[in-house]
Amino acid sequence: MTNKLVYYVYLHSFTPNFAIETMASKKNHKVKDNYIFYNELLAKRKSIFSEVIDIKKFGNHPRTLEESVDVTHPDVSDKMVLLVDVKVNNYNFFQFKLRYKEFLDNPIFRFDSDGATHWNQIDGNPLHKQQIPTPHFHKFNEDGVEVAYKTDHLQDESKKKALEDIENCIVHFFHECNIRVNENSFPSIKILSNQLGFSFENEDPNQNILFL
Amino acid sequence: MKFDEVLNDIRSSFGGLWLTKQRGNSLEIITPYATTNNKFISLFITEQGDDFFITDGGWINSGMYDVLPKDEDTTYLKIFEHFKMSFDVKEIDSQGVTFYYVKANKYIDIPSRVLGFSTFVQNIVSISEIDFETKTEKETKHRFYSKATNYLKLYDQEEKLKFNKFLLDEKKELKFNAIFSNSAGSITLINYITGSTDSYFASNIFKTNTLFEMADSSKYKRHIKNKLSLIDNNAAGYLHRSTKGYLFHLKNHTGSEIIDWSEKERIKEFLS
Repeated sequence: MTNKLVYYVYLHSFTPNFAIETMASKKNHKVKDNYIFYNELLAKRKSIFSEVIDIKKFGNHPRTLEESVDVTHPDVSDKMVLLVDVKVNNYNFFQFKLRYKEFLDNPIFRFDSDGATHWNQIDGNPLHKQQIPTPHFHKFNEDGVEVAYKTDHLQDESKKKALEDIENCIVHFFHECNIRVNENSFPSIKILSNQLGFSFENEDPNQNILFL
Repeated sequence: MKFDEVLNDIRSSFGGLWLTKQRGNSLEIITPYATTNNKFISLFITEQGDDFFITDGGWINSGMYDVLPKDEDTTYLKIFEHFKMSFDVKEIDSQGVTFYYVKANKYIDIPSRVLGFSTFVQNIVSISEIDFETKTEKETKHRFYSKATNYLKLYDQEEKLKFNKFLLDEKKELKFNAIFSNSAGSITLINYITGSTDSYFASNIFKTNTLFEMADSSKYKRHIKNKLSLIDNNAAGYLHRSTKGYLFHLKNHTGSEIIDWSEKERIKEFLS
């Protein structure tokens, strides 16, 4: 109850005209100023109530399927959602995003299986260690800077291979940001309701395009 | 300072940032060039016939760099065209995604193309982070666009109206605030014009002028029955003396009907 009260007061203390900065090198002051709260958002046990996540609708980005699932957090009453994006022509190219719009416009936590390499522009690290290719997670550090990182599993070649599969990977994601289905289980994932049993793994973006 | 050592460190650090991923018949090259939102640029090299093509893999327009191009903003488009021309970048649409690419006829030209094309991608992604419009302008547009759209939705043939619609699916730059289907093969294009200052108002007139002009040079020309410009004559930017001249030009140049918000009922004359 005490926690709830603290969070309530503190959510309402946000500056209304705060402009969210999306650049990782810039500081997101909302996260920085409320870093304990931000960490609690990630650390506390959250739940979803869908045992199967069936990804079948096209989202905002072209060629990308997207499904949204409500997430409950013990201390917040505003809507928190888990978004799952999958490329329609490559089922190994997916993202999990935890979004809590009352706090941040951008996802508060995210996993990218593929896509752009992130630059953790943080002084005191050798340049090559600042470069974080996918797969990787994204979160904010105590300075409010969005950083990418790899877990031990993602750095272990054999475990990393297993995590290329979306269904295995969502378990890893759920462990990393503490979500479960109901009490203590994990969801299964269907893509286009497993239509015809096909799985698409075209990882060459230039395939079938005739450049002139 | 040991200058040689510093240079060697920079060279080896930079050199170590080049990474690759084999992707079917293409090679992804992760370059040391980064954007202002801290993404390293990836390029995709593929060989077709005797030529080499270096592409962005459709990543710019798919939001893979966490930003989307602001291709409705005239300032953005000017900068975009500048970079596109400077590095001789071409584009092709594939299944709803625009791919940008450069071509190298000879193997020896690949490194030079990689440098030019990386610079292009790096800049396009970075400028996509910039908010070119002021907050007041965004609010003015949002307010008038909602008002105009809500008014049009009251029309009893609303099902014939499509909002924020592309004239041609393959030409993403030809987007109108509304398109009305008068009959099979006959349409009315509608664009809203407002602006919080005289220069924003003028720029929105120019944009509508260009869109109508482009529609008239497209293969749909013979299907366009009317072109309507719905003018926010209550907007702060409307009052400037030059505005009337620009609107007069829009009418004469494109044949657009100019309809002030204060006489919005006139729109119905064209929607039948």
